[in-house]
Formats: sequence, structure tokens, C-alpha cells
Amino acid sequence: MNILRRVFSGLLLIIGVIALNFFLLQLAPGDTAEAIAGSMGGASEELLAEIRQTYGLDKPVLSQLFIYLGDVITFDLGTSYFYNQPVSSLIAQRIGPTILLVLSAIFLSLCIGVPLGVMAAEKPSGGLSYSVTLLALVGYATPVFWSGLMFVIFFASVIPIFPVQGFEDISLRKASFFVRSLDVLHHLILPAITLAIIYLAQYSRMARASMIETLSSDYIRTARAKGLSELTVVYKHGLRNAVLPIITLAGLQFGNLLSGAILVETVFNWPGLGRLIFDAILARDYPTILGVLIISSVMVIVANMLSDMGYRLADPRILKQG
Amino acid sequence: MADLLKIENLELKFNTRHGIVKVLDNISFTLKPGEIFGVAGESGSGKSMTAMALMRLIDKKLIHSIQGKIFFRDTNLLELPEKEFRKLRGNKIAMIFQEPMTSLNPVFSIGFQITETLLLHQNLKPKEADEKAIDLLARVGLPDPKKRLKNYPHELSGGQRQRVMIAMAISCRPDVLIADEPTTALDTTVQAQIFDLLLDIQQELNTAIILITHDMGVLAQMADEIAVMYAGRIVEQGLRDQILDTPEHPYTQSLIACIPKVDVRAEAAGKPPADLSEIAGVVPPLAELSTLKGCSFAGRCPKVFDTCSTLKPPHFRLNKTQTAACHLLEK
Amino acid sequence: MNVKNNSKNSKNPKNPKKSFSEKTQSPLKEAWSVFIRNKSAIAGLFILGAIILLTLYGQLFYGEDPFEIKWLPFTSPGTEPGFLLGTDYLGRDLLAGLIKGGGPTLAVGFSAATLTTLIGMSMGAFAGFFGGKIDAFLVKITEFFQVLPALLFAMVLIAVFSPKVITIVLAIGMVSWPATARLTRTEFLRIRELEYVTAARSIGMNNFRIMFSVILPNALPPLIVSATLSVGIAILFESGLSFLGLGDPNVMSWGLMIGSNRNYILEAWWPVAVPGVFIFLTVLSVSLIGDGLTDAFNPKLRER
Repeated sequence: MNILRRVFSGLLLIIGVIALNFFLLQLAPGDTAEAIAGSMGGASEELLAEIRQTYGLDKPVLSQLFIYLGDVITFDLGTSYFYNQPVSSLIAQRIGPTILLVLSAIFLSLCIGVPLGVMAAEKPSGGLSYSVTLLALVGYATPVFWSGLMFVIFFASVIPIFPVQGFEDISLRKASFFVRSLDVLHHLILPAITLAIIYLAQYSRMARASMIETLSSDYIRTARAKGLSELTVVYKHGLRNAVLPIITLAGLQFGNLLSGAILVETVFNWPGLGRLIFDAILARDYPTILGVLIISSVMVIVANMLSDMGYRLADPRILKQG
Repeated sequence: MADLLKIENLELKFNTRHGIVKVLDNISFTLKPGEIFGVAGESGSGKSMTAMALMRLIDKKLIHSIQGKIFFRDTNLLELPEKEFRKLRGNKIAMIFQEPMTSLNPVFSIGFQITETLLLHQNLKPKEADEKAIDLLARVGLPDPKKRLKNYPHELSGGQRQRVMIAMAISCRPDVLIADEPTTALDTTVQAQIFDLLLDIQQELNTAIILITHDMGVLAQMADEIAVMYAGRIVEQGLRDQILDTPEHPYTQSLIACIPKVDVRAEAAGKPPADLSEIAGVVPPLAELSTLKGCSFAGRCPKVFDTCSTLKPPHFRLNKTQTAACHLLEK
Repeated sequence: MNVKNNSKNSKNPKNPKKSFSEKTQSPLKEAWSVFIRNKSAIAGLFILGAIILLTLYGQLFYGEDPFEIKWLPFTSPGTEPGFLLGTDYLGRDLLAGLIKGGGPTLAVGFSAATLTTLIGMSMGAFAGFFGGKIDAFLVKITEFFQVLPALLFAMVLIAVFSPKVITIVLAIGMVSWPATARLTRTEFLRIRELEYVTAARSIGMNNFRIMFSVILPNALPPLIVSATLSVGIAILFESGLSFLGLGDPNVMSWGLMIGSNRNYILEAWWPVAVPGVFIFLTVLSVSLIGDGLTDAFNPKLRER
């Protein structure tokens, strides 16, 4: 019941996103038909009229929006002016690398950041605690595109052990699936680490703070009074309570993560949605811009739902309140 | 009967920003099997700290030094390695805390939290532990115990949670049960039920109970023996009737004066019960205690005289079972 | 004092005396005195001050045009007198760019943060104060803006409305206010239930006076912290946009320097590395100040 309601409100949000951006793009200076004609090479009046008809640009804005909404339901996001391809197939080609990048960054930052913060919490004024605080400050203040570029300099000229550009090695195109996967992973390492650093820093800081608070709570004292070992007390009774705020944070930050991914994709020439929308903006390719925005919003909504579900699984107090 | 627990000259010092501070000063008492030993005093008197020291639940970073002896049967608990002590904690020596609302882990079910103790200390199969947990919940008076097993703490009331805490504490039939203000956070009617439950358990399992409370009225009904603590020190100790009938320390006398004497007829007539007698002032802060030369109660004592501010009063033995630390008794 | 309800001192035996004397000071004064004793926050103030001075007064002493090609490209720092930090891929003076580029970066950062705070604060204040349907509506709007990936949406806004400084400030403000709104709302929800608000109501104060002269001052501490931190976020955001080439092409900024030189990093690292260090130091100093303010406003943390 609850999930249905959330899906419904998610759909409403997406319709809102579409409507807002649709109208926004109408405000753009310049005639869309001319832009399309320009990318085709010429602009006779006849051609313009034809283009207006094919793209439905001769209809009133509101009915254009409803036609577009109707198309979106059938996964038809229109045709790119610039690439002259269906937007949905453009996105289909590019979404994989972006999801791979974003998920690996989340995975890395959670799997390293949380244990780091938890270990730091055991000695709130120890060396590790100090390092975590420092890391959080540095990670937060470093522009992600800049740290990416620094990695490029370092791994291109100092120790060239990781590829610094692209998604795969074209010369391996005929190799087996396994070899190609390894190659992609090899290419993934630097972009993923670059993107993960910011969140690793934030999660470790948050995990530390949250764990320190949890460890001073009464139920931790109870767990100790039961005679449980310190390991069980910290990792079984403490950790599960301490990760709750991190799950929420990770969900809320997914939008930022996507934003960071756009910058990282640009630095490492990663062929994802970020590159796609960047090129589309330069070319004023509105159907593609709109399509990428819709897909990204859907990703954010789905990420929020997942983090919500994770929270519900970890915290029984939420279940009954609905 | 042989002593179950014997504390000798327990002294605990903390590292604080104000230097080293003595938190517990020369605490000694003994506990016999099945006895209820009451510890009374205001907050800050060190009564909870004594319990925490017994359970070794004090943050090690705070401790500067801990001296004296705590014998449980024949083992000195203070010399026992942590790993060995954990086998006793929650098993033979168990504790119930003051805050039932927050003392249970919110993310684990009641059943999990009770069976966790059982599985840890007793050689049980998970299924046996479940059955035992149901028995325990029934024993502490929770209705529908089988269903409760799957409940989470937030689904229970404060009184029910404290019953769960008690079930957990008695799950391994402890020899010593420490109850630190077990009813402070609960309604008056629930308080009485919890105390009845504790009395039942004490009789049934022959568990010795250390009952820590600020409420002399409770000890008057429950305790066999009473120690009154003030500023980290036991200032008077004796059998219940001695403490209640012939209190010698002025502090004990004021505490007893605080027991509300509810006049049933006055209450029925709509009049408020007689005013609680109050003790003026507060327990001196620990940081000041370490620099204090005389009696720590001197600042609030109605019977204070010269010697009090210069000399710390020793314990005077009044008879076989009663001692008190006050210069007035020096004769 | 009643024996039963004893003071809280006993729970906090370490420092009972201090907490008592602290209560006699005014909260703001007290926070300030804590703040100026915080070494890293003071370091942050100094770094930020130095950077602001450099960008404001640097031009007076070093007014070179950052867009003008002055020398051979890729001159290493320190190898050519007159070009302290070397030149970039076109032969433009790096130091000139650094000095000229700081102003716009900081200006956009501060004004976008102000805008963020203003939008977020008013949305949150109305939602939290009035509650009910107004709250539900404003929360939906906030949620809506949180679903839009900020950088993408800002890119679209800029693409549609031409890359001018004002557009960029508006775009950053429009995408980053939800966090401030959520915080303000929580604070207003909490404070409106407190007794002094009820008291203000009972003497007939109108809603706006209650909101702005009773609740707002009490909600300020966390809002000041969040406003400070949003300066750092806005600077990072502006740099990101300029890096992508979506900033104002006629205004030099640190992000633009990095972006335009990024294809040549293997020939010359300094035109990319140096502006990045300055962005880093600026954001770092702002967040050090923010952390210092958090500690100063939060007496619970102060005990540590």
C-alpha cells in the first residue's frame, strides 16, 4: 500500500520535472526548427515547415507537452536533433557507464568510509579519528574535477598503471567477455575513486559521529552488562544503529552524486549520460537534454526509494508508523 | 552463611580536567545469598558508580586507578581478566538499569535480546533458548509472551520494557542482581508491581539483590540491610530497622525525614500530603571533594561544628551491625 | 533542593562549576568566545581573509589582463621573470588569471549562498510555522527540487538563459536551497511549540512578528552555520560550471582556468593545479569557519 503511494508520488514528481523543463526549454532563445535545420545543413522555408510538422512544433505548447507526456509513457523520448537518433536509444547506450560509475563510487565510499568511521569512533581522540576528520575536510573542499585531473597527471606520467581516458580499450574489442570486463574495470578504477573520495570522506565522518553517539547509549551499556564481547557490542549492537543516518544521507545525496558523475565523466572521457547532456547542451539538442533530465530524476527517485527501504529494513521502529 | 559478595576498601579515582578525583572512597560491605542490600543516597552520591564498578562497566579512559578487593565467592573480581569476567557478567552477576525506555536496543526484537544472553552463557540450542525466553517473559508477568518475542522495544510500554530487562537479567539465574533505580522512570502503580516482582524472584531463585535507590521509603519495605552513601562514601550502614529507627548520621536522619508520610484521611479530604522535608544544598561537586579536608556533608549538616570542617570523620562502630561516620559519635 | 529531583550536575561530574558560570553570559557572546579559541576556525578566517585580500587588492599591484597572450605558452613557474607562476597553453599569465579570477569566483559564491539561504529560509520558515496544508505543499516543492539533479538542472538553466554571471547565481540559488529549507523547517517546527512563542501569541503578536522577531533569532545558530557552508558549496558549484565551459566566457574564474587548460595537462600541470589549490583553500577555509561555528553554537559538543 505504502509502496504504491510512493510510486504514485514519484510519478507525479517526474511529471512535474518534465513539465517544468519542457516550459523552460520553450523559453530558450532561437527557433528550434531553425536549429534542427541548421544541424541538417540548410534552412529553406519549406524545410522549416516540414520540420515543424514532423516534430509537432506547429502545435500549441500545452498540447506539445501532452503529446510528449503521452510519448514518455511508451518510453518514446523523441528524436535527437543533433544525433538524429531516438533519444531513448541514445540514453540506453550511455546509461550503463553512468550507473556503473555511480554504483561503484557508492560501493567504495560506503565499504571504506563506514568501517573507517566506526574504527575511529572506538578512540574518539585517537590518531585514526584525527585522520578521519582531516580526510572529511579535505574530501569536502576538493573540487572533484580537479582531483580527477590530478589523478590523470599522476597516473599518466608518474606511474602509468591505470588508464586515464575512456571506458574500454578498442584494441580488445574481439577479446573474450571476461577480458573485456576486466578491461572496463581497469578503466573504471580512477573515475570511481575520484567520485568516491568526496562521499568516502563524508560517510566516514558521519559514521564516526553517529557511532560515538551510539556507543554512549544505554542499550550499549545493557549489551556490555550481558557479558557480550566488545566486538559483538560494537559491531552487532552498535553498527546497525549507527548506519541508520548514513543510509538516509546516501539516499539524499544521490542527486549530488549524479552531478559529480557528470564532472568526472568529462575529466576521464567516460561515455555516460554526463557527456551526452553536455554535448546536447552545446548543440541545443532539447529532446536529448529533456530525456537525460527525466532519466536522471527517475534515478534519483529510485535511489531515494531504495534508501528508504533500506532504512525500513534496518529500523523496525519505522514499519508500524507507515 | 558464607558471604556471596564481599567488597573491601573499594577506592576509585577518575582522571578529569580538574585532575585526579576520588569518586569512591573506602567502600566496604558484604552480601549474603538471598539478601536484599539497599544502597541509598542522592544523585551524585556514588551509589550508581559503585554498581558500575562492580559490573566493570565504567569507561576505562575515565579510570585513573581502582583499588581494594571485590570478592565474589572466592574470586577477586578486580584481578580477574576481562575475558573471564565476561563469563560472570550477565550470568552470575546481572544488572537492571534506570532507564527502561532506552536500555533495550531498538533495532532488535525482544526475543533476540533475551535469547542472546541465554545462548551466550548457557549451552542451549536456539529453539530451547526461545522456549526459555517465553517462560521468562511469562515469569516476569508479560501477557501473551509468545507473541511478545517478536515485538520490538518501541511496541512496549516502559513498565513492560523494564519487565523485559528483568527477564534478561534473571535469565541465567544470577547469584547477584543489581537493580539501579529500577522504577524511577515508571508510574507509581507500575513501581509497586516491579518491586513485587523483584521480591518474588529473590525468594524463588534465592538471588541476592543490591537495590540502589534515592527513596528510603522503598528500602524501608524491601531491604534487609541498608548503606547510606554521600559524596562517594558510605556514611552509615546497618540493618534496616537500625537505620530506620536509630539513624545516627545527620544525613541519614534527613533522608528518613524525606520519606513521605501520606496521611490517608487528609488525602481523602482533598488536602495535599505533608510537605516533603528537604535537605538544603546539593552534593558538593567531585572536583571540590578532592580538596576538601573535613566531612563532605559539613556544608549542609544541621549539626555541624568546628571539627567537621577540618577532619574527615572515621567510621564509628555503634554495635555489631551498625556503623556511621560522624564526629558527633566520638565519645 | 528536594532530594528526589536533584540537579543535573551529578550526571556530569567533570565540570559542574563551569556550566553554571556559562549560563550567566549571553549566548552569542559566549559562542563568540568559544569560536575565537578554536584554532582551526581562526586559521580558516585567516586563509579566507588572505584570499579575499589577494583578489581585491592584488589587481591594484598586478593589473595584468588575464585574457591577453603575453608570452610563450607552457612557461614553467619561476623560469621567466615577470611570470611568477608561468603561462598557460596560450601563453596567458597565470598569476594574472589567479588574481582576476578570484573575484568572480568569490562573488558568485557569496551571492549564490545568500540567495540559497534567502530562498531556503523563507520556504522553510513558512512551511514550519504555518504547518498543515501550506507545509505539505512547500515540502512537496522542496522534494521536487531535490529530485532534480542540481548540476544538470543548472546546466539547462544556463543553456536556456545565456551564461551570464547573474544567470549562474540564480541557477545555483535555485538548485541548492532545499537543504536550507529542510533545516529551517525543522527548527521552526521545534521552536513554534516552545513556551515563549505561546507567550508571544497570547500578547497578540501577529504571525509575521512571531516568525521574524521571535522564532527566527532563536533558529539562527544552525542557519548561520548552513549559510556559511553553502558559500563553500556555491563556490564548488560555480567552479564546476565554469570548468564545463558553462560559465560566463568573458569573465575569468578559477574554474574556467582549469577547464580551458585541462586538455593540455600532460604538457603543463600548473595552469590546472594552481587554481584548483585556490578553490580548495577557499572552500576549506569556509568549512573550517562553519565547523568552528557549529562547535561554538552547540554547547553539548563543547564539553569534549
